[in-house]
Amino acid sequence: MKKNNLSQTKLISTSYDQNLENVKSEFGNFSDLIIREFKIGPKKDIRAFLVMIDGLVDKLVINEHILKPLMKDTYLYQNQQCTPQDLYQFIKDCILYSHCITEEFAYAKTIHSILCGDVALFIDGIDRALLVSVRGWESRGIEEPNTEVVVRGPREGFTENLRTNTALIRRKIRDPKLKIESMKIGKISKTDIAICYIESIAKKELVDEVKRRLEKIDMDYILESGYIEAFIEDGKYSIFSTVGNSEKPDVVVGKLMEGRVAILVDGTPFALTVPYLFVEAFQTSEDYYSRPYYYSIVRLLRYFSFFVSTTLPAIYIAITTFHQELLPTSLLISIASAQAGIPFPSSVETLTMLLIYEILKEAGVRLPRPVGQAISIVGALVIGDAAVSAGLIGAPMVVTVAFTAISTFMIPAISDACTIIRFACVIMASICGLYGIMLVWILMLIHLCHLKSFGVNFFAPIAPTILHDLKDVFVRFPWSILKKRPIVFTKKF
Amino acid sequence: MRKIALFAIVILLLSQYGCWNRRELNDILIVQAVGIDRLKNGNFRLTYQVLKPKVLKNPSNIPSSPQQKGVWCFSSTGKTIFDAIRNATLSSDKKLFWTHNKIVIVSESLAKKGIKEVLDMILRDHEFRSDAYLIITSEDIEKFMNISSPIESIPAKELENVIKNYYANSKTMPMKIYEFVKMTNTKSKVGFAPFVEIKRPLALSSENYMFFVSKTAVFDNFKLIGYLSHDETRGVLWVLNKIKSGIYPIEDKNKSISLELIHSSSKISARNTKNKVLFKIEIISEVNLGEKEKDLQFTQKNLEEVKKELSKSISKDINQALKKSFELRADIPHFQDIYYIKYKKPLKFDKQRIAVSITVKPFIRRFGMLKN
Repeated sequence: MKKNNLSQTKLISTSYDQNLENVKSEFGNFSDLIIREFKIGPKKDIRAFLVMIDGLVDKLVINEHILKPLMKDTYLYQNQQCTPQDLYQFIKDCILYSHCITEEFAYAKTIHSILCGDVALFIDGIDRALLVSVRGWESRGIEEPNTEVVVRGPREGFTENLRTNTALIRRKIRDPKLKIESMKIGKISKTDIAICYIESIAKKELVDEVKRRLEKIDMDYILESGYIEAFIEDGKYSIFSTVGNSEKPDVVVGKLMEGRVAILVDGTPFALTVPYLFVEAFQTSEDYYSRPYYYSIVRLLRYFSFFVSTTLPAIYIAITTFHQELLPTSLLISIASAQAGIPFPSSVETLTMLLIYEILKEAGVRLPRPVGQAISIVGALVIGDAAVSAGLIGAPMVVTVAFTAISTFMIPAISDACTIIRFACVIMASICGLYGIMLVWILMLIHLCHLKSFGVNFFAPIAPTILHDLKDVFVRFPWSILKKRPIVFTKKF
Repeated sequence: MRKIALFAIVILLLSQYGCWNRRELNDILIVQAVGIDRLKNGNFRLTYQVLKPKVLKNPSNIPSSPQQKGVWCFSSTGKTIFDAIRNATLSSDKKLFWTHNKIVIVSESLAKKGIKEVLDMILRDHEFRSDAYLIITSEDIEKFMNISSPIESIPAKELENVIKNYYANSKTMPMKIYEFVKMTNTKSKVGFAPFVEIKRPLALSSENYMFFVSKTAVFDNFKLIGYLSHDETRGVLWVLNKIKSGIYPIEDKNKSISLELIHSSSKISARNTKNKVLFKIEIISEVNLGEKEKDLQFTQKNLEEVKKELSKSISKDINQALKKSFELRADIPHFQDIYYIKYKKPLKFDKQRIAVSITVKPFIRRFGMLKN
C-alpha cells in the first residue's frame, strides 16, 4: 500500500541506477518480470534498459523491432555531440519500428502500462520512459459461441480480448459515428472496458447515464461483465435482468443500430447492451436473417413457451387438486388412473420432479462432456421410466415436467427468471389453485410494468403500448415494414 | 410504508379466495352416473356408478369381464336424496365427486310421482352440475346401472354416447337437466326425457347388454304422463326445430327410397282467427337421396312425387305427435309459449281452440352418381 502511494506521485528520474532500482523495488521479486540492460549510441556508452512482463509481450517483435534497431541502428546516429536527449529524440523519431509509442513521466502509469503488456524503455539521462506497445499474449481465436447457436447467420463470436471485440464491431459499422470509448474499472484489476454507441442514433442522455453509472462502480476487480451488470442495472432485487448480454457481434451491432449502448469488458466474450427490454428475450438474431413467416410463428411459440415454462406445472396441480371439473372427463380418467396409488400429493410430486430436473440440469452443465451424457441417461431412464413404473410418480407429471423443461430452452435469455416464477406458481397453486396462479401472474405483470432499464420502460412496447414498435414483438414484420428504427428508446413517457 | 402496503396487499389477496376445496385425485370417487328411485317405505335409494382408476390404468383390461370393469356400482338409502348421498360415505371409503356426473337415471315409478324434488336437489347443491342427461327407465335401477357394456369400460360413457346419437336419427330427444327445467318452467310446463331400456346385443348372447332408447317420456309439470314413439318424437322435434339429421324412407309405387335429412329448419307462427288459434308450421327440409331400391328412373315428374311423399311423411309425424298431445292433454308442441310470446295472454290447450297448418318445402340436393 505504501509503495503504491509512493509510485503515485513519483516521477522518473534522470539517473539510470535510480530508475533501475525504483523499477525493481516497485515490482519486487516478480518471477515474470524481465529487465534487459544494454548499451546504445554511436559510442555504445549510453546505458538503457527495457522492462516487460514475460508472456504479455510478443518476444519476436521485441527482438526484431525494438532491441535490434536500438542496438544496431543507433550507431548510425552521426551527431558527435551526442547527448542523451538528442539520442532519445532520434530513437523516438527514427529507430523504433512501432505503431504506438507513448512517453511517460510518472512511475505509476509506466508500471501500469508494463502490466498491461507494453515494454518500457529507460535511457540513462532521460527523465521519462518510452512505452512501446508490443502486446501479444496467447488468446482464443474467434469461434462460434455456444450460447447463441444459429443455423443461418454469422458464426463469429466475441473473444476474451477487448481489442478483438471492438474490431469485430468496427468491422460491421464502417462509420466514424460509431464511438468506442474506453474506461478502466476495478481498483486493483484495472480492467479495460469499452463503451460503444452510434453517436447520431443513441441518445446523449443515455450515453451519459451509462458513463455515470460505470464511473460510480467501486470494486476491486472485474472478472466478467456480470460484475458490471450487477452494478449498473436498475432493478437490483428483480428476478428479471434489465441488462442484456450477447456473445455475438452481429447481435450487438443490431442493438447498437436501434439506439442502444454496448459495454465490452476485457476478459469476457459477453458484451452488455442497455437499455434492455423484456421482449428482447424472445428475439433471436435468426429471426431477422430468415424469412419472416416461419420465424413469426416461432416467436409466438416462444411466448407460449414462456407461459408453459412458468405456469404449466402449476396449472397441473391446480386442476388436479382444486378444479377437477375443468378437465374433460376422459382426460380426468386418464390422469386419475395414472395418479392412482401414487403415495404423494400432486404438489409434493411436482416440486420433487422440478427439483430433480433442476439438479439434473445443473449437474449436466458442470460435468465434463463425456460424463454429462451419463446424466441424461440417468435422467431419462431412472427418473422418467423407472419412477413411473415403480409407482412413485405419475406419468402425466413426468410429461408435464418434461414439457416445461423443454419449453424453458426455447427462451434461454430469461430461463432463470422462469424457474423462479415456476416455483412461485407451483407453491401458490398448491395453496389456492388457479387463483394462486393468477396472483403470481398479476404480481409479475405489475412488477414488469414497474421495472425500468436506463429510463426506458422494461415492458415496453407492450406496456406502455407503442404501436410503432409492436411490429417486432409478437411477430416479426417483413423488413419493408420494419426498416424504421424503434422509437421506444427516444420517446418520452 | 410501501413495504407495509405491499405486504398488506399480498395478505388481503391471499384471503380473497372462496372455498378451500383441495382434494387429491386419490381422495375422490368420480361419479359417472347416478340412479334414483324410491323404496316402498318412502326412502330414496341412490345407486352410484363410480370409476375404478386402478383398473382403467391397465390398457389391456377386458371391459366385459366383471372383475375388470372400469366402474363399480353401489347404492345407499336415505330419507331425502341428500341424506342418501351422505349415507353413501357409510360404506364408501372416499367422498363422492359429482362434477363429472353424466347421467341421472330416474325410475319410472318415481317419475310418475314427480321429479321436482329430485331436480331441486341437483340444481340447488353446488357440487352437482346440471348438464347431466336425464334418463327414465322402467328397469330395476341397480340392474340397469350394473350391466357390463361391451364397448366402453364405463357404461355411463356408453349410455351418454347413445343418447347423444340423436343427431343422426332424430328419433329421440336428449335432455340435460337444465334444459329439462328450462323447458318445464314455461307456460306449457311440458318436458321430455329419453326412456332407455336394456337389451341383448344379439338374440343369442347371454352376458352383455346394450342400451336401447325405445321411446321418449313426456312430463307435464314434472310428472311422467306418457310416452312418445320414435315417429311421434320426430314430429315433436320438427315442431321444436330440433331436427338434425335422419332418414326418411319413402314408399313410391312399391319402390322404397331413403332420403337423408341434411339441413332442416322450422318456423311456427300463431294467429288468432275467429274462434280458433291457427298455428302455422313452415318447414324447410333439404335432403340427399341416400338409397333407392330397384330400377327407378328419376324424372322431373317423379322427383316431384318423391318430394310430395316426403312432405306427407313429415306432416304425418307432426300430426301423430299432435294427436298424442291432445290425448295426453299436455302441450307437447309448446304452442302455449308461442302464443304467449305473441299475444302476452295465456292460451288454454284445447283441441277445439287450436288449428294447425303444416307446409313443407322439400329440396332434394344430391342424388349420387351411380349408373344403373
